[in-house]
Amino acid sequence: MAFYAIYQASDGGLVSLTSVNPTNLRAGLVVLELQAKPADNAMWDASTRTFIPRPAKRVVDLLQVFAGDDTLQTILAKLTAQERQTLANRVLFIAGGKRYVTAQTALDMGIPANRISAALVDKPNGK
Amino acid sequence: MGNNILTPTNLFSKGGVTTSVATTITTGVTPDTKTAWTQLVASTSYDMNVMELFITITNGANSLLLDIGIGAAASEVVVVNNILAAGASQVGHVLRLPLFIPAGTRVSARAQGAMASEQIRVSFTGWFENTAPNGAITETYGADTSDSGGTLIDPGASSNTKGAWTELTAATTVPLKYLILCVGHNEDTTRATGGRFVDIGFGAGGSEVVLVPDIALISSSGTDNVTPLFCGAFAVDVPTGTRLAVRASASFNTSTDREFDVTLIGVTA
Repeated sequence: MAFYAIYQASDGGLVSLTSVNPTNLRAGLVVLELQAKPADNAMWDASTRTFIPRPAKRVVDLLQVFAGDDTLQTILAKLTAQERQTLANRVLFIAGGKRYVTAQTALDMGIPANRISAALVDKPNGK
Repeated sequence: MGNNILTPTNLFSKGGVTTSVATTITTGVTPDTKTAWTQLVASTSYDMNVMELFITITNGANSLLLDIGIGAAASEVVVVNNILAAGASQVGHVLRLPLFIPAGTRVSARAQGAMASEQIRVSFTGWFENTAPNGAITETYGADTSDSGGTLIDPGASSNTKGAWTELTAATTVPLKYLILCVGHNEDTTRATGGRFVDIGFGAGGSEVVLVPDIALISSSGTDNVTPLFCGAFAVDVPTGTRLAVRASASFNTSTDREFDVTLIGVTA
C-alpha cells in the first residue's frame, strides 16, 4: 500500500506520514509518495528528503566478553565443542535481552576497557 | 446491576489465589502467532463497566500483543485485541478499560510474542460505576502483528521538538469515546534515560490537530523500559472515519535511542 511522506519544502523537516493521499496541503509542504510504509529500521533524512537506514547501535555483546575471558577460556578448552555450545545456549537463555549492554553499563560492571572494545557489535535495530 | 462497590477477589483469576501471581499466558512456539485461550475467570460475579487489567511482564525483552476474550471455551469472542504489552525487564502495569461485561461471563486471554514461549501474567478486577459509560466495542490501532509490536514513533533529529505525525489509522470505523495509549520499548534493551512528550492527533496528513497533548513518558537505562506502558483512558469524542496519528518529542536525539512504538485502543460508548 502506498504511503505518503509530507515534509516542509524549506528545510526538509518531516511533518506527517499517512496512507491517505494528501490533498489541499498548505503552502510550503511537499509530498513524497512511497511504495509502502517505511520500515522500522528506516529514518527520515531531512537533507536528502528521503528515508535512509537507521544507523546500527554499537553495544557490548556480553557473550563475547564471557567467551573471551582468559580464565574462562582455560575452562572452556576442557569442554567438548558440543558442551561449549550447550553452555553458550544456556548463557544466552539466562541473559535473554540483557545479552547486549551499552559500553557505559559494561564499564560499570567492571569489564576491562580492552574487553569492551573487543566485544562491540552492531545490534540489530528495533524489532 | 451490581452495587457501586469494588469487587476484587471474586473476579481475580484462579491462578492468583494460591500462588500470589496472576494467570500465566505463554505465547506459542511460533513467534508472532496467537496461542490458544487461557481462562482468567469462569464466570464474572457482577456486571462491570470498568475492567482493570493487571499485566505483568515476567521475563522482558520482547513485545507481546494480548487479546482479551469472552465466551465459552472454543467460542471466545475478542473484546480487546492486540493490547501492546512490552517490557524490556520485569514490569507490572495496570490498564483500565471502560468496558461493560455482564455478570456470568467467562473471560479469557491469549497472546503472541516476538519470540517463542514468552510469558505474561494477567489478572483483572472489575466493578460497576454508576457514572461510567458502558463501553462496548474496542478497536486497536497501530498494532503490528507481524512483529508483535506497535507503530514506530520517531521523535526526530531535533531534541525537545515534536517530530512528524505517524498515522495509526487512516479512518476509525466506530465512534470513540475513550482512547488509551499503549507504549512499547521497540525491543531495545540498551535504552538511554530520557523524557518524551507524546501527542495524539486527528485530521488529514499535514493538517493534524492535537487531541491529547503532552503525554509524559520516560525511558530508563536501568530498566530499558519506556513507561508508563498504558496512558488513559482519555475521554474523547472521535467520530467514525477519523484519521488518528501520534507524534512525540524526546529530550535527546540519538537516532538509535529516541524511537519507541505505540498503539491506541479506542472504546465506544
